[in-house]
Amino acid sequence: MGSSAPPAQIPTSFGHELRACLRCRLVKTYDQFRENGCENCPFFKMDEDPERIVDCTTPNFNGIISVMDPTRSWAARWLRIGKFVPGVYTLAVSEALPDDLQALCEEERVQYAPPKRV
Amino acid sequence: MVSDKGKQPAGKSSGKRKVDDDKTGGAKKRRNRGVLQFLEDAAVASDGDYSSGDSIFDDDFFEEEEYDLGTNDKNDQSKSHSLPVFPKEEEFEEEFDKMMEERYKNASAFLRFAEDEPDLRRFVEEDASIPSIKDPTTWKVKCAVGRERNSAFCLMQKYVDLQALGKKLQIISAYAVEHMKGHFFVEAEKQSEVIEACKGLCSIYTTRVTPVPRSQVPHLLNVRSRRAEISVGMWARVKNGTYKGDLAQVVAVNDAKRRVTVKLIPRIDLQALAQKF
Repeated sequence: MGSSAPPAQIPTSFGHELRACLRCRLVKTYDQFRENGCENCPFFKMDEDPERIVDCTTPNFNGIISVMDPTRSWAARWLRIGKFVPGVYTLAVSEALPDDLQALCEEERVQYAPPKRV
Repeated sequence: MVSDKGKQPAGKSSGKRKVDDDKTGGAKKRRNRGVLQFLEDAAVASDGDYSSGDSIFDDDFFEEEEYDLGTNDKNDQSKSHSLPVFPKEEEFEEEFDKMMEERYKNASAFLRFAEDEPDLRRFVEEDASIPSIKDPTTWKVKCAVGRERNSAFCLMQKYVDLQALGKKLQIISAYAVEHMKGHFFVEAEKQSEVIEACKGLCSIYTTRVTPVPRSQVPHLLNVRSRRAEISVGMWARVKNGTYKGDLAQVVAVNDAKRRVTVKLIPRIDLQALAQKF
């Protein structure tokens, strides 16, 4: 996934319906997650099971970063989103992924780093 | 406060070590330095703990004793103190636990496995603690207060729209941090690219674009999201409407919808009712 990767959907509204993926921190609206899932974490299959969205995403996040070129962005690398598709991300989420979904990440052999506590 | 003192040196050391990792490729040297530093820091941290712990009790006698025992190990010290000042040891343990938790919560970050994907390994080594000269400059851009997030969204949308037309917006990223009002940040090679990207967006003031010193950049990004701190049973105060200023109690929290249900004492205007009937 370089700068050539197609960007993720851009949020269509900026209010309370915004949610951030707990693994990759991609920010989209609830409806966008329901229709297309998460571009970085397709194995969560949020587009197939809307209940998954509540488990995999959170409305509580802090700060917004639009990453146009993840490979060249120092900020993206520092935030560990340098390998994801271009898109709108959050700087930090507060909750950790539920245990069963962390296990799923392990099964899929993808990295998951729980958020740091305050 | 005490735990802060303990935290700081440890944090610093991991930062130092990361930089070191980048400069010297030698695995052996790296390991040695890492261990030495850790020991030194631990000593500094516990020193700080003792002296500040004593100052709480403001007792000259113990201060003196502390200096005498300065070279003894930690266990002896806490035992000798535990008799006369009872609450101290407990407090101590708590602080110590906190400190250790703080220090080791990221323990997995220090481990590297041989079977790690090469991809992943490169990822860790690239993770320098401040941007290098090769990395793009971060620019601080002025925008209308309350439009910080929006500016970042708009620039992404613009990037996507231009890409569809076969043009490329040259900026690399745009971000808004919540504690910075009226400003957001753009990563780009040149100032002119920032100005070009912000053209046509009326809430962004491109006459106020200044570079951010490289050493300051990590501080900008170092935000940790607070957990939702509202729980059932907490007290709240109504800010607006009929019940403005009234005390309320939380009876239910819906995190998913970011809504809480509160109970209030109804405002019944008895005089108005009496006049009516």
